[in-house]
Amino acid sequence: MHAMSKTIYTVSELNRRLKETLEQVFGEVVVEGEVSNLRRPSSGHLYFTLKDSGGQVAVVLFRGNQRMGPLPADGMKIRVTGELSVYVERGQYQIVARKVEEAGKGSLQEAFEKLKARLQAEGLFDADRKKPLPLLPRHIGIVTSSSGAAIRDILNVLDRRFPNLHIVLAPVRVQGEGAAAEIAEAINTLNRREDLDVLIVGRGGGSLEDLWAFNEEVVARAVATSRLPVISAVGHEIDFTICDFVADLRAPTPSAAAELVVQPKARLEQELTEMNRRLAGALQHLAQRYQNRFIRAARSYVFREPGHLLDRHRRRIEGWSKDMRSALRNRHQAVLQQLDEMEVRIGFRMRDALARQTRRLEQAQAQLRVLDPASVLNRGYSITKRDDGRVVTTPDAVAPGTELTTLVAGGILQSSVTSTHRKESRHAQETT
Amino acid sequence: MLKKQPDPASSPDFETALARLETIVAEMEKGALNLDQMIAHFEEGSKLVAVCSTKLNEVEKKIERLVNRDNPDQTVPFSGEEEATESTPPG
Repeated sequence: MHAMSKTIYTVSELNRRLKETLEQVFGEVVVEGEVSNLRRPSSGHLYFTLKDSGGQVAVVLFRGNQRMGPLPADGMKIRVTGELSVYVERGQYQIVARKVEEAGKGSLQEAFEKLKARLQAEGLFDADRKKPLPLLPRHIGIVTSSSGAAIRDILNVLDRRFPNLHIVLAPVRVQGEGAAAEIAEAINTLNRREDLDVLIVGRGGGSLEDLWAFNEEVVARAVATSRLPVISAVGHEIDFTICDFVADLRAPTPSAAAELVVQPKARLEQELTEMNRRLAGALQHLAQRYQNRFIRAARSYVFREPGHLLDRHRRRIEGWSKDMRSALRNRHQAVLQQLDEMEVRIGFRMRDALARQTRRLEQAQAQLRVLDPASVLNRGYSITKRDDGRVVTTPDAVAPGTELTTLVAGGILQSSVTSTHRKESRHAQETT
Repeated sequence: MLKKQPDPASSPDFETALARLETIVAEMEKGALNLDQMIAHFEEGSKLVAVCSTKLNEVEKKIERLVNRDNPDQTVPFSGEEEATESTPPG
């Protein structure tokens, strides 16, 4: 026995050493083989044997990794990517699979990356290729399955946002053999309609395989050559497909595509109402300004050249009013009515102003008439001055013998004072 | 059969009309236009409001489904509640 020269392991120590060695030496492995002895206990993990003509190896595919590819089935030829490890408790080595693909085909991810790189290099994803979406698409083409959640969601959202849309559905298979060709053909066919404004192309969520049709070149080409803008809506938020990259707009879900394609009709109507209000408001504002100008003008000039200026302003305002009226006739009732009122108001103000100014003129003229010396003389009064030119208003200003000049309406009288009396006499001086 | 309703050449599309309308309103609100220009702007603006409003309402609700993959104009009404005619699972 050479027991002393050999390391003595316990069983579990041996298995642990093996596990460490295997994991260090091999690490990740990719193995192809045929599935057999597939088991799925209640844990949901998958256990199977991968075999070929010369041997077999145990594989475990934990539940969390099962979305990464097709589910293995007995007899299926698959390619497994995973870590080589040892199940210590049983002394068995196995592959802990992370990813399962169908053998023979290249990996989907690889194909995706390759096509993406190629189309990107061709410029198919360039931002300047993206067609703008119409603000108001009223005829919408949809490429998707005629059954299922996607079309239902799209139609619901569209109807809610814009109740009178014209929609043309091109029903297609969205997964499986031939789906990509159908999708591409439908895009081309809808492009031949002359009435459509925009296309939505998509489907609901699913596995990578389910969405695969939207990663195929034939679909990418159809989207790229589409005359109509294309909104791509494939799967859920996290799913990106080649179709998304080529499309003019990528929507995270079919419902989102419907929301992106058309604004709520109510909002557009509201915007138009607001525009209409601002149009009328701007015009009314101007009318108000003209009115204010008139009022200022009437106040400041009318007294100087009353008739002439008033007439001119009135003519101008009537001209404006007539212009507006003819421009607006039968077109905008509210503004027209506003103008009517404005005109009436202007008319009132015109009459007011005219009357006021006329009154002032008459008063002024009356005052002038009262004050005008000539008009006083006309009524029989006279003005008496001394020879030094001073007007005589009291008997004290003269003495007997003072020479006087008296103005009467008809001319001048010369006289001299003979005597003066105070008080009792309103006309203190006598003339000779 | 085509449902094309070609717009008259004189009638701009909704987007163009709305953009022009916004420009017109903005110019009017700046207050630098004389009466003639204001009236002209108002008239054009009112026409554009009418054009846009018409466009919002002129299309009737209609959902069609192509029945022939090669013929874009051969359609039947679509209710939205169609049973799966193919082995396609809900997509």
